[in-house]
Amino acid sequence: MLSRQIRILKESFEVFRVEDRRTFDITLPCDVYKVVGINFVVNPGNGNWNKLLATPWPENTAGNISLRWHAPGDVFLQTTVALEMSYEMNHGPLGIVAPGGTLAKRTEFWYSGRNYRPIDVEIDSNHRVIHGFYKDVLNKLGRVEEAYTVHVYLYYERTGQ
Amino acid sequence: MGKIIRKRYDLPLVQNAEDNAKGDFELDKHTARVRGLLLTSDRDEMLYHRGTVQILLNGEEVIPDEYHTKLLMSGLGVAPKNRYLPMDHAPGNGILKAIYTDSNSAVQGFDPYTVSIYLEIELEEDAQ
Repeated sequence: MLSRQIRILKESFEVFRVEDRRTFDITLPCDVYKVVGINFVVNPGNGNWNKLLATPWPENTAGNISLRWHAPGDVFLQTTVALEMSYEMNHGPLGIVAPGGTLAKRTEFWYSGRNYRPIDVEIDSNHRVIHGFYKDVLNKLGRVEEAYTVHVYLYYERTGQ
Repeated sequence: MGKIIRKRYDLPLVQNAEDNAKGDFELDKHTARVRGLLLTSDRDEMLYHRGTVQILLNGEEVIPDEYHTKLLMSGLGVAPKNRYLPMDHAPGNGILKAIYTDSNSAVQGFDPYTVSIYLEIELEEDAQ
């Protein structure tokens, strides 16, 4: 639930190649008490998008991500980045199509902004930076080298408000 | 708990690609808490692929700059009672400010469209 205590932090980075490995850093604001949730957005480019449309049951993973504090052993979150488009298209064969929807412009999807992934990570005062690592799957599946952007949203709770 | 109402606020038509649509709205004067938020459009696919939004309530940033609107939408497959993003905000001065930004997408061409913001509002207990 969003409230005065909850704020949202956004970090974006670009992925270029097949199985591209990207590192990124997220600098936390000084009032962060703990991270309560995470969400990702990946918008595939034209090449990957066309491959997805042509696949009846497309893969659901855009890539794998891990977040850590200092050393490689300090990982506190490892997860897949879901390709939300595939949820949308999985609905097609079930016959739930919005009025006026076509294959390329279907508008129904079953997820909503409510379901960001809850995580509960308290922030030590020594930790002001989260180090992230991302490995591409989308370009590998599509067999194209196409740039796309991964957006990471962190939902955090503030201290003393 | 006060009565729950749902209100719609329309932003001006997005007429050109990569354009902004801004709106200042006044909440119901009997608003006790803002309980939920939902975004929709007359062209859902535009909102889904091209949109980012910033929403401020009482001058405070509820949704940060360049937040993807697809994360604030709900589709037909979502149960109606689950469609609003749950929130708990005091209305303060009751001014809702929204800045919507259209950006180019590889998969969705541009057509003019309107963005609507729905709020789930809890009224004061003695409000009629």
